[in-house]
Amino acid sequence: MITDPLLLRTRRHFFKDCGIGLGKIALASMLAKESFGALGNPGFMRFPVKAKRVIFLFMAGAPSQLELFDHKPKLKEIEGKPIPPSVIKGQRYAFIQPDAAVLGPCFPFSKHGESGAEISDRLPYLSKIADDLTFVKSMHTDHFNHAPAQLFMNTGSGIPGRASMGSWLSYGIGSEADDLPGFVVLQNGVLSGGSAMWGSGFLPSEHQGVPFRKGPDPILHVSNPKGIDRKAQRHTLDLLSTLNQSSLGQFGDPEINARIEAYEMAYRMQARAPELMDFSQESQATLDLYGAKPGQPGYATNCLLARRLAERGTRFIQVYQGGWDAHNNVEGNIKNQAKAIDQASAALVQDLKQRGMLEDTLVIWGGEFGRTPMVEASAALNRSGGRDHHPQAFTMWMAGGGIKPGITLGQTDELGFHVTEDPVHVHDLQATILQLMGIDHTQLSFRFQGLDFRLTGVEQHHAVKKLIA
Amino acid sequence: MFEKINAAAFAILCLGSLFLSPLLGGKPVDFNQDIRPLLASKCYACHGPDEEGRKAKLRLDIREDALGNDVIVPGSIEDSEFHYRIRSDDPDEIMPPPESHATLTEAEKDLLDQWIAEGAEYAKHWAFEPPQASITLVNAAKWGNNSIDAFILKNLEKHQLDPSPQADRYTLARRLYLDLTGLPPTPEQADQFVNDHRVDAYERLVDQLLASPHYGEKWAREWLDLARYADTNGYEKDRPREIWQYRDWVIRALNADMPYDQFTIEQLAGDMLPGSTQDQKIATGFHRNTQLNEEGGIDPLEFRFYAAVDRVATTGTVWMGLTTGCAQCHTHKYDPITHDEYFGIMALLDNVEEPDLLLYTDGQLSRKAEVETQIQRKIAELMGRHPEFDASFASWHKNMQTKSTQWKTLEPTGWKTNLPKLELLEDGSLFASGDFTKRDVYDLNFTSTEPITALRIEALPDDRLPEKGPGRAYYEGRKGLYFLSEVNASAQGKPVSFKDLSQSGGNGVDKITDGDGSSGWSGAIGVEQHLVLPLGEPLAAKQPFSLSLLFERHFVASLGKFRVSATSSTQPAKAQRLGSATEDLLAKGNQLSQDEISQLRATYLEKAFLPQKNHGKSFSTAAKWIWDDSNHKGKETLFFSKAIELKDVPKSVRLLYTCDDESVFFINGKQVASNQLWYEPATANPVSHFQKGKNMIAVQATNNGGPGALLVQLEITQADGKKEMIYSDTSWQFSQQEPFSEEWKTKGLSDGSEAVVVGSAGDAPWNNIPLKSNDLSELNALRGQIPQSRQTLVMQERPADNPRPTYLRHRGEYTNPKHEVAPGIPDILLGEDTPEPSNRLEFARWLVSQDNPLGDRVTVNRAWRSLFGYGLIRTSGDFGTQAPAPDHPELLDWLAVEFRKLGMSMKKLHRLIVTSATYKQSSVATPEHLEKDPQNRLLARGPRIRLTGELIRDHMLTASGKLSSKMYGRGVYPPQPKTVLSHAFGNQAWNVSTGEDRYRRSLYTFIKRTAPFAGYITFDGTSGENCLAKRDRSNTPLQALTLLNDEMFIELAQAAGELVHQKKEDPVESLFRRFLTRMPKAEERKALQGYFDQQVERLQAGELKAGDIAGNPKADPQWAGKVLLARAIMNLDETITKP
Repeated sequence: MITDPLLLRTRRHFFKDCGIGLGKIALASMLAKESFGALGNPGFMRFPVKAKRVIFLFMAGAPSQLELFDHKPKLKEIEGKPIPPSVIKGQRYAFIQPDAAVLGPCFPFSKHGESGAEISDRLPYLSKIADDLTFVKSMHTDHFNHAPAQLFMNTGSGIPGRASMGSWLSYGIGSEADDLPGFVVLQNGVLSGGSAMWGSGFLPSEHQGVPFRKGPDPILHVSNPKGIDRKAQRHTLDLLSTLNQSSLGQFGDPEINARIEAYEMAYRMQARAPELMDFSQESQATLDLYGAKPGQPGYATNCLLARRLAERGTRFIQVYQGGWDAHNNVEGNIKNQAKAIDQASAALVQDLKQRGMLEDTLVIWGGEFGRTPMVEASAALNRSGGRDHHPQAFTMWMAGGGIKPGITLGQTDELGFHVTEDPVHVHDLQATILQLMGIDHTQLSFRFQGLDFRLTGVEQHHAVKKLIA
Repeated sequence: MFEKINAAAFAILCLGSLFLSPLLGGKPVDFNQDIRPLLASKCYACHGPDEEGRKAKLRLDIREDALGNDVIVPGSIEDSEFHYRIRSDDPDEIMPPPESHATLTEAEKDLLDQWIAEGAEYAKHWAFEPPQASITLVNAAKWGNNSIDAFILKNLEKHQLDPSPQADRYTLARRLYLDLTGLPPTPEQADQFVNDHRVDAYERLVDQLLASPHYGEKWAREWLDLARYADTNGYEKDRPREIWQYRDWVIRALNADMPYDQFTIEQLAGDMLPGSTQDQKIATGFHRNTQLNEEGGIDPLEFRFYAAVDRVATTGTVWMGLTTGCAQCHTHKYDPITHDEYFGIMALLDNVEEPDLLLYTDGQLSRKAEVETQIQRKIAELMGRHPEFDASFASWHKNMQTKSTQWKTLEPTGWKTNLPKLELLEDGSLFASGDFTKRDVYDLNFTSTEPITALRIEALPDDRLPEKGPGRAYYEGRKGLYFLSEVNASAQGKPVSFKDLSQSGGNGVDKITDGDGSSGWSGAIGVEQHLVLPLGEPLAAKQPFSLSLLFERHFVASLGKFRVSATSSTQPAKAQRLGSATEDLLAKGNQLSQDEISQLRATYLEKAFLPQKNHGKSFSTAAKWIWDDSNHKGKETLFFSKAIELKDVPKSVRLLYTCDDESVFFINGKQVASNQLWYEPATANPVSHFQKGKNMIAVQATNNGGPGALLVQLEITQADGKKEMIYSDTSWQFSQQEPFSEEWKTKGLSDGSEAVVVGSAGDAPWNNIPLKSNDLSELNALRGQIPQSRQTLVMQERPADNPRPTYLRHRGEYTNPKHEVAPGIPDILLGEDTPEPSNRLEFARWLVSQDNPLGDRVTVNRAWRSLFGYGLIRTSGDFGTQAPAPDHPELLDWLAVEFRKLGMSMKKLHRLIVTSATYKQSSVATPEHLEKDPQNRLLARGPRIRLTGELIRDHMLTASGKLSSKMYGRGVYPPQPKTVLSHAFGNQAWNVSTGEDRYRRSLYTFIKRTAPFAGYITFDGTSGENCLAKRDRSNTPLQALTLLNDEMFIELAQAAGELVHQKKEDPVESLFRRFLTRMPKAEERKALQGYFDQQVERLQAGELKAGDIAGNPKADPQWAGKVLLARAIMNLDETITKP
């Protein structure tokens, strides 16, 4: 447990200056070899490193597990009748009353692959790679509203202002990229949790996620201002370096050295960003695999960009896809949304696999909670045929990065209401992700307002051993 | 390379040898210094105050317990089980157990043994003892200006270090200006000080800067970090809030040097002070800076609880230096705060209502009276303008008398609710306060002395309600909204039926008896509306009956004020849209006083007579309602454009348009009109925005639900008098995607689709939209001049008869309440003969009293950190047992005692510190410094600290001559890339401020929590989500990109370059001094000149474009070269650093 940011900074500076190259911290491999020498192994690196990077496909708004992965034919049988109060007990809901009627699944399901995973007919592409995927049908969370639940999944707390998963990783094990940010956020659609989902909270702010923007500057200010060419920028940097060196000589302040390095890295980033965004290097076959069209932003483009970032050393890539909040017409919602994500999500896994990157890249797919087996309808809100928020049970899937492929973990009851087997709390999932990266989630902490904060909170939570290969 | 590694290694070694060393070299151990930190970090988790986590029933934080069972035998290592356990080889025996990863080092084990051998003495944690000022006067003559220096020198001598020489005068000037006002000196100001040879020149400068209004601005920004101030609510929707009056209060209080105790008490409990002033109420905004979740469907009380948790944590951090947060979930593992005591603090703070306070300035009040008189005059004038008015009124009055119902207010005999408190007011209305849920029920009992044929429910506005009510909605829906889902009446256990329901305004009256909670009656904000409920069968006189009102929405929407009346009239009763006051007058027949008649005449004129007169020209049916889809129902924002060609500049233009629901209208990129209500079309005469040739019409239109559509009619009168009509139709383009750049407003949509016609003007569901008469517009224009009150968020103690109970929440979870907890402070902090605070005001007074051993230490430590970059105790928010021992404990205590002697004056405290020799030292770090004290904890040199993001911008504004000196007011919007907000919820715009607001000090920048200003957040700024006791000072490539390329800084580089160009100053020296204060050294001058010449050469060769770089087509290569030079200097490490 390292809590003193100064000590940590010192440790990072050590790596920086140890001949690995400017900013090229490449800690993961060093940590894996446990070759920390005199400085010792940070206490939290207690597991073999199976994943070096994470791509989290976050389905904001909460997809209906009952239309995609968790097949509950019983719901069709009792459609229109209320769920027995004994099942519902004291649950709170966002919009519906607990005695709302049951809604049956809107789509047929069938079994796929050797694993026999049950998947709805809305996901033909993912169905084809079922054996590469690992389903967790027994996810559950603490929050039943979007903003807190999205924050909870991404930061371990429902309150805005905590450190996000990506920033924990950046803080704990640094980045492998020396010319791109280590934690990148790609967004398509509306998010409830907002920028707090990739904030660094109490961690030093250099660890916050860098959201890529629409338009010519994916990273803020990565382009030179009007009238200034790369040569003028280089001249400027040379001047700054000369004068800052002179300051360093005078004041002896190591921060000046760090500033010189930061400017050089910024300069490299200015060259790297256009190269990263230039999809002309990708083959037509790859573009077709994802269904990506150059110049057309969206989920498919984001998935392809995620792979390109992963190749270039970015540690944590968060792909947000909004639009799953099916309070009205869940059937229509799933038709559109599933179509939007199916091909590219499957393509990402396949593409990583064919490039040999899947084994150390963890891909995660899922939203902030599930949706009710009960129907949502409201005169005032003009809603019908929808499903409300359901924190008690939902489905996510993962692939690569040390995850046991082709299995399904957990079960729900015949109504899809409660988890009946192998419950996985959001903090358990986070603990699992950290463990795959080599980190003991109980040991990676930061002191703020006198508390030792952890991604996984203070209660007892555990990495899910059954998921780890 | 080697040097650096050595430095890093040394950093660790030195930390060890100076501060963590267990090797005491023959000195006796000090429990507070040496032992408690060890026990706290390695043992207390299982053997500390927390009963739940305690193992083997052993407590090591209390001596008596630790001595029991021979765990520790004072003076005898051999007899102490403790000794064997920490040294055991057996993994089952060794403590701490291996799985805790809290292994002790050999040195730590030796130290613990030494402690036992010396008698295992305990001591109260230093921070829980009141500060004591010791006198340190060693070598006072050798070095130093005041007592601070004596303490520092004593420590330096102990470590064989000498203080650094005093910094040069340019450095001192720059340091002082930046520290006290947050702005750099101008070269002239710096020279003035450098050339002031009076002995007290420095002190004079200090006093001058303390008196500057910029002092309050600088220090307010630091306080706002603690107050987690922001201009939006946070969470998903993150809508704007009005609380900048609180921010301004802080600036004023700091500039007035309000004593810190008063400063505290007013912010925590200003509303409870006897005869509290408006300002004291504004100050209570401190704890209203918590976030508000406006997401639909939340449990509002759950998020209220989270706000209460935040308030406890923030209070703990700011005034107690204690981390109470641990005790939210369980008894503190390290500090002596129990789970119950935590909720005791919450109970002190949480007995509050959280209203919006309406504010009128005196000027506003007199203006209001003035306008009201003008309105009376205007009404008289309008009556006179229409000769037929008197006759029309007389006939209306006669007619209405027969139609009106005589109502009698019914006061309930009793009531109960699920949670809100109802209070019967003098006028027979009921006022609801306290806590509300998204499903509230009011059950009211009545007995009427007369028979009843119909009931009336009036929804009434009140200044105390959100947006004046009548509803209690304060999040998600419109503030002040109500939503009455169901009304049920019963008498003698049987339901009473209603028939022919009617409403005076709003809609949904037919839904209040449909048994569906999701539908109901709701109306406009800030005005009275009523329902009339004729009974199926009349109720007999003296027949008790009950009325049950259900409010059920996905947010709080209960009525905040309402009144019930009844009638015995056998005529059919109907809701009247003129309001109950008018209706009562009408029902009185001819028995009216002169005043009452005037009132009635005025009402008739405005509400009935004028609206029927003079309809303005309305929409032609050639105008079409257009949208993206004829069946569209959901919420969405569309972007429309249409290009038109004009032969000449037009003579006049008349725009008439509306949109269901909201829109903004642009001509050639300039906003010319906006519209919020479809039934109130907007008009404008935007002739000045048209030009000869191509013109672009652009509309951003939002539908909030239900049908959406846009309707436009533009009448253009050409120079030759010919009229051309432009209507909304399929020739318009639309886009569902927000265009990437603003260019679409001038160039049109690049990928638009053809608009779909939904209907023609006059078609349902909108039908004809009547325009208001011109006469009425005159009156409305006057009404529009009545000054609107401002609002700010405040705290208000709950009434004695409706206290909020505080429950212990098991594991800190809202859904898990256990027993009720009484207000109080932790025992450890309670003095022996001081009474325990029992409410918010007493608590605030206690926090700043000498009974709070932590308060003064926390305050002086914070001041120290602001000036030196690090506190005397480095964990600025935490003085608990886990905090490292202070670097200078005696100095910390002395300062705490001195602060009280100085009357808790912040200015005097700052003066004391900045006039010390310690502060005035040069910040040059010598190799000896770097070796012996790399982190400058001993203060053998001055501070050298990177400025915050806000101060960096303020610095650039000052040096480029652009800074506006305007103080106070609503947040402003300096330029930043539009994409910063694209990740935030909803289509919120960042409308960049123009004029001087663009160049205001950074503390006036609008703070949006989910999209904080990029230029500040990149430099470790705060989003206002948490109380922040200290900011990071990171050093990143994104900062480099911001300073190099951000439009906001480029604009200032252009301003600075132009300034020195116009003034014909030597660019190198002038720019250098504007940004760095001091004179450039010869080699610096040479490097800068070389760069300048190099760039000018490229500019002259045409490789770079002067106009683009200078942002001015008139610029020549010399001018543009100066812009580039300014930009380069702005990027120097020294520019953004306090020297």
